[in-house]
Amino acid sequence: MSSSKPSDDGLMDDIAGVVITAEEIQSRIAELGMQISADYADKDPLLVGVLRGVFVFMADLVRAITIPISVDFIGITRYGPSTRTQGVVRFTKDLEICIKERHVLFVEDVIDTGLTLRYILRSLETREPASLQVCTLFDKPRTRLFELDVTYTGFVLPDAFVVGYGLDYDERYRNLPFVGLLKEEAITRRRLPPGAQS
Amino acid sequence: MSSESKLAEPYPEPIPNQREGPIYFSHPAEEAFARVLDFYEIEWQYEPTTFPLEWDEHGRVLTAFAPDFYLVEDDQYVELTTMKQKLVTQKNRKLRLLHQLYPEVRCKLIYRRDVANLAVKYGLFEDGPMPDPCFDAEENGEDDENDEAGQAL
Repeated sequence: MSSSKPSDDGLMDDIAGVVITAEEIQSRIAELGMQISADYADKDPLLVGVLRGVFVFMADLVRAITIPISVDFIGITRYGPSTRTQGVVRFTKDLEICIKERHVLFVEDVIDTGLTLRYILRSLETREPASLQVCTLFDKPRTRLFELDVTYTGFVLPDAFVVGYGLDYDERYRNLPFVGLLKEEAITRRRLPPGAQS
Repeated sequence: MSSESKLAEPYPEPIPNQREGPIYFSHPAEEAFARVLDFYEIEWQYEPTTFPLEWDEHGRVLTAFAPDFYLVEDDQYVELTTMKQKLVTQKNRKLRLLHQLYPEVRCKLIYRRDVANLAVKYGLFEDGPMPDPCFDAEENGEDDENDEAGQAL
């Protein structure tokens, strides 16, 4: 059985097709790991990720890196139905490691508008790291609102709503090992209250 | 002769749009987008400038373009288009003219499918899909409010 087709039919039923296979993802992450290992040799980098979507990529990326590293995470509110009435963006979990004069590699699962990333980078820059670069597994440059300097990019995503490998819709599908196209009916169904008919 | 070759010089200056009181958005997607910008503390203005694009021999503006949003700190305009892809030709043409006549102006066009994807991601329309009525208006040949010279100037 291909690792792109898990037996969990409950999730697969909502997927219209595989956009990036699990094998392609792992191959690209291995390349990124090699490149980062070379670029950061003797720099003792700190990899920082923002919860929650990045945890899948971060877990595979750090294992593809062959030099000593540290890892830390931050949490941030994201715009959505549950936060839209709560004012503005804010951190929900801060770093536990001091980044001053450290070489920081900020790791993202996906960049689209760049709104979240810019907010975070500006905050990190005020803490005076020795360097601050960005690595993202997925990129959607078509919807980028600002120019952002991204050093490492895994894949450019198509202009479709995709899920899997950390990417969610309504907190689901992150555990798919591949990136898949979400069926429109799955989006419609999740919007409706329990028991309602679409 | 192409319409581009009819352009006269000197070109009219961009026209600031005077706004007082509450903002009335042309499309629910624009209002939702504004809320997202507010959440991330991005300073924005709604349709602050109209750019004349084509005019006749008397200097009367025939075609103009007022991008939906201006991101103040980034000196960047953003236009959300909710038209179907096959009907975006006119808007692409305006954007091309904008870049030709005002090369210093940066304007980002976000297409319908991308708007829809962002709507899903941010849960902008949790009661249903992105509202359609304005799609119909645009598909019938009506463009965004203030885009046409007759409405904007």
